[in-house]
Amino acid sequence: MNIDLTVNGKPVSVEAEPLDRLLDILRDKLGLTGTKEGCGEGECGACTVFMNNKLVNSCLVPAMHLHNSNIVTIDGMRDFDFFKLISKAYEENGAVQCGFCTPGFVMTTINLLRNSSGKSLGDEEIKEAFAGNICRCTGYDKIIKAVRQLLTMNIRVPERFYE
Amino acid sequence: MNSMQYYSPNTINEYRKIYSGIADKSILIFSGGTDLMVGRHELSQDAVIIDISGIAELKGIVKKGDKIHIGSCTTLNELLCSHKIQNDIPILIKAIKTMASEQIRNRATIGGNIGNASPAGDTITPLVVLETKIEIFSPESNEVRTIPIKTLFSGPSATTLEKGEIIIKIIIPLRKDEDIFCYFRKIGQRNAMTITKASLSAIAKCSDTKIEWIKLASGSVSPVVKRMSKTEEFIKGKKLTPVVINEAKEIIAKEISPITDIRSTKAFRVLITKNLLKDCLSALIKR
Amino acid sequence: MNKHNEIRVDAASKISGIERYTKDLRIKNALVAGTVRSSRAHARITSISFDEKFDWSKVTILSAKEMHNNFVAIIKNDMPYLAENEVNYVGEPILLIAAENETMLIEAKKHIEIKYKELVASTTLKVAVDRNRAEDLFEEILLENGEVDEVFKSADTIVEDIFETGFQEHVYLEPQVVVAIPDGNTIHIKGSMQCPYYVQNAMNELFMGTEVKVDVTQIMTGGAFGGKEDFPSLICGHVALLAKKTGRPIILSYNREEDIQFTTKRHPSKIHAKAAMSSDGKILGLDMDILLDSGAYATLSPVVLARAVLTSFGCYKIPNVRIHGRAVKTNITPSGAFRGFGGPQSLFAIEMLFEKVAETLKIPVWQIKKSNMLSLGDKLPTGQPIDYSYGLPQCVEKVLKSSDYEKKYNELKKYNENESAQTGILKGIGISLAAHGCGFTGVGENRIKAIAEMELLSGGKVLVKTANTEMGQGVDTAYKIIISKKLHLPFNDIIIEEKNTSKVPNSGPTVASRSTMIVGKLLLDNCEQILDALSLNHFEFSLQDFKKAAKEYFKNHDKLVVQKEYKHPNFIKFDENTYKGYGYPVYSWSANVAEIEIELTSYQVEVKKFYTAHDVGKAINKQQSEGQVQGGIVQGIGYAVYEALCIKDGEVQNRGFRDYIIPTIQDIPEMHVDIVEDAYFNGPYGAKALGELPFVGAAPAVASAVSFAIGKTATKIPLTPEVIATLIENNNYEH
Ligand SMILES: Cc1cc2nc3c(=O)[nH]c(=O)nc-3n(C[C@H](O)[C@H](O)[C@H](O)COP(=O)(O)OP(=O)(O)OC[C@H]3O[C@@H](n4cnc5c(N)ncnc54)[C@H](O)[C@@H]3O)c2cc1C
Ligand code: FES
Ligand code: FES
Repeated sequence: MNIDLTVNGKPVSVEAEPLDRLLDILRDKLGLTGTKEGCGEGECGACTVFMNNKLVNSCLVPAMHLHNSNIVTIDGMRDFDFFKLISKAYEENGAVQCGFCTPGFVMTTINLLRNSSGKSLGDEEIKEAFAGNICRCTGYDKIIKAVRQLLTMNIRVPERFYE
Repeated sequence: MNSMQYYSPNTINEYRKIYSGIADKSILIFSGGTDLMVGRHELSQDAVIIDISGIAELKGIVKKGDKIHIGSCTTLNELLCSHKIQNDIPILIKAIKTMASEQIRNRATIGGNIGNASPAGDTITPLVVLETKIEIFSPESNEVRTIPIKTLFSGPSATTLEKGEIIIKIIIPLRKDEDIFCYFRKIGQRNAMTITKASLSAIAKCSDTKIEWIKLASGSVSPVVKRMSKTEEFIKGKKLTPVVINEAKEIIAKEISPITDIRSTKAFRVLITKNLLKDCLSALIKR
Repeated sequence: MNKHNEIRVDAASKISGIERYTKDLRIKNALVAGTVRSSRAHARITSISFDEKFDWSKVTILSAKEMHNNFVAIIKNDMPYLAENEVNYVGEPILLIAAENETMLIEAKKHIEIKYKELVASTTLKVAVDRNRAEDLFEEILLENGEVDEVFKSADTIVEDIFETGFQEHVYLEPQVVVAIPDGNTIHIKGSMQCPYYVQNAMNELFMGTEVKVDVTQIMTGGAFGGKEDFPSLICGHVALLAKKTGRPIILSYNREEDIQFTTKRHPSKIHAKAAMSSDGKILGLDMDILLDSGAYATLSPVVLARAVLTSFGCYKIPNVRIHGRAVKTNITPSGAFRGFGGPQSLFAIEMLFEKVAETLKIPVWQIKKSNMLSLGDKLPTGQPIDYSYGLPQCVEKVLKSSDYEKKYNELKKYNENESAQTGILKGIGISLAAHGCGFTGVGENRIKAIAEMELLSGGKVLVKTANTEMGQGVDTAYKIIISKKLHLPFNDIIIEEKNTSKVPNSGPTVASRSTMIVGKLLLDNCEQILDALSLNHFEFSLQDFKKAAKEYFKNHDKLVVQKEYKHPNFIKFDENTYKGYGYPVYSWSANVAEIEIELTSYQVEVKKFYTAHDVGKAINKQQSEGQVQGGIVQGIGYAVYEALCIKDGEVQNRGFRDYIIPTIQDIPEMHVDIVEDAYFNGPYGAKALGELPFVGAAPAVASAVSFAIGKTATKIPLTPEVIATLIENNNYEH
């Protein structure tokens, strides 16, 4: 089947089987390798992307759901101002080790910043937001620190990306 | 290899038409796909996929009189964010909060959780105690039938749905009584992202010091989720003394029939189900 | 140090997703590879048949019959790349398939049928030990010191128990993946791995006597923890063989299910430990019998056992010791390297033995541990004196203070007595002391003869050549810090050469927490060599001076390449027969306090707080050192509480993250990390080992806290709710 969708602001058209995974379409068909596969079963969050402005696991999204959808991946985030602040906070707080989980954590961070503008969140709420992202290296502490810092910075993340 | 055949109807009527064209084939109803995509390599290559997630009639939450109607393709996050659900069905919120992650809840639908018919499905025990009705559409007869949720399940991963039948609505009656106690707790293998080893849903009404009525359903401890009616019956009208609680624990232990699997053992599931009941009744006393 | 210099050199590229891991490489014209595996734990292969209905011309099949050197060169060379006649575990590779795509692979696999004749299988460690066959013993070690039998005869009290630890899967977030690219007679191997030279050696053996040459490049690795130490040699062989046969590039990437079921695991242990105690709580003798479940092949078991033996006396002064260790073959997925490498198993045993001593003698556990702890100048049972870089007392002081241990100990005792019945929550506080021998065991380092190389480039930059790989631990950044400090160069002027065996010398594997201490020191020596050549060594100099000197140098020379080979200081000697001498050149130390709660509805152990102090000699990168410690603690908590691998008839039952449970962000404690720096004279700026130590002390601290909470010694991990319920309710709830 042929699917028309928007990825990181660009209209694209791909050929795929109905149950092909968005993850593979991004990585193999579109060369967007920033999105990682850690488990392929929705458990680790390394493959997290935005689909129609909602956070999803790209390993569980079938091609047939992608018609006219708007997908934004880590590879489409780099040029946003908020991304630079996130990157800085992650770097300075030492939130990255092997880095394989990191793009996924960054996507969840963006979602959290967007949804919590103006609210002050406790650690429990931060942790709830990251329930779907597994990191085996860092012990999470420094990621939480980076996120905590970001939450105090009043960062503006748009409601919608590339629309 | 041939590609799998698939359809994505936009209306229930379209669904019916598609169905009648392929009624001789095995079909696979696809909603959010969070269950189906995990095992996608095991799916039969001959099945025709019908993706119902685009059917607008299957989405949304409306209050109709003393009932809440939930479209089967409503996602768990939509339920979580719904003021109607938050205000009127707090037990469902409690349950959904323990489910999966933001990423999954954005995709997973309530119809899928029910249709998957897992004894560990976390929306099922609250829906069972709420005496929810399920509206089912049959493309063969072009009719809608409504059944109590508890009669939907016929075994682990098995339902009483006939071929082609889909769940279209979840209808939850609202209770007029004020001050209803509700309890949901699930015990998994860790705090987040966990499959239920055992869970308990309860709603109850007390007057003075007695329990007027209580409705209980245990998850993951029997082939299908069902009401713990003997336990309910026993507690009804009683004052919750330690002796009563202990007796109730023994009764619920006999009502369930858990198994040993990779996640836990039969004996442990019995133990924690009893503990959950005690935890629930203690919370009820504290109120 | 300038805080800016702590920022990892790879952080930005990883955050933005630009960093390329192996699967991100775009390799043209590649085939994908798959593995056909044994479905039996132990059996003879009687036939392999290929269904005629399938078009076999579409795929390439490789079997053992076509190979002439069919063993993976590790230690014992006992493991074949592909089983030929006999299979020894469920999942053992039998055939390889290369196909144009994944779908074709899956299809082809469905059309292969393998028949077996079952043989007797050791599907548990117990069965293997009971069978008592000499050929199942991969290694046996005996370490004796003093008069063990006598002291047990005369001791006031003898305390003993059996301590058990389970399998553990590494769960590096990037599953195993390697590629092979044929190029004339050469095959280029690239992949996610810790030790390109281990792979190189294995490939040299595999293609011995043929024209094939191999070079190996490590690609940015998404976590490893030991899981990519020995294992990649096997799969690199697989892709190399297929690349040779097909003439096409080959990609082999495991999905999570394959990775969890069929890659190496931490060795489970069963340790019978006995302490001879004086009535005032002094340990006079230790008698320990260590059994490690090695799985079907030896892999690194002999050296894992060596470390288990040398860690078994913990941080205590024990005058009379007998440690008997055995690594035993079973018909289960092979065990291999994993952070701590045998240390966590025996340290758990000794720490919990002290717990049992405390329970028996009714003396608070900390009092017992404190009164038996090593003092500066004491000797280990190997005869090695602990007379330098012994920061444990300082660690203890720090952790007692940060955790307020003594006060909480009393408070929680009272709480459990008076309040827990009300709240339904038991609380516990536990303490552990841990040691990690830095670098290779015994004479390993002298055998490897690690070489590091540095080249001065025009423009006054340096090119750093080591084979030590970045897998998340931050080695590239650490090297830059070490060099930058010495040469006053900014990070940008320090270039780390690709970890390609045709470009870098063999500086040894990235294991045993040795990269900073051993290779970092070589790099510091390389800096000295460069400074000598530039005649800067005896002066204060600035960056400008350095650049000027470099410019001057290149006026008269075209090249400056310096090399340094590692050798232990002369007094560091070890006798592999008697296990006497310096097991390690130095030790890193930690003291740990865990606070836990057990809620009596679910019996879940929750680690609420974790305090630790680590003596690492010198933290080259403070921020990342802390990160290593925190990550190790959480992985250790997983080991102690959550991570249960379920084996049935020798087969791993777990299929993925849904049934192999590791800690999520909602399962972590509040952590407090102190770093102590008691310099090691032979490490760069005093640095010694760090990477593994945080893991080693974590589980015993948690288990100690659990013992406190339930009022008896927890003797095995993982302490899943089923185990806890069994301990509390005196009934069996376990599998
Ligand atoms: C990482 C992860 C974590 C999870 N955590 C939880 C958890 O905590 N608790 C929990 O209960 N579940 C959990 N799940 C399971 C899953 O997310 C839920 O069951 C979800 O609600 C399924 O909805 P879906 O729309 O994705 O279903 P789908 O995968 O689309 O379908 C599931 C099944 O239901 C059938 N079906 C779907 N819609 C209908 C319909 N309208 N009528 C009839 N049949 C239908 C399908 O044919 C299929 O058999 C988890 C899954 C993942 C991957
Ligand atoms: S790869 Fe999608 S959640 Fe792990
Ligand atoms: S940094 Fe390695 S998994 Fe998170």
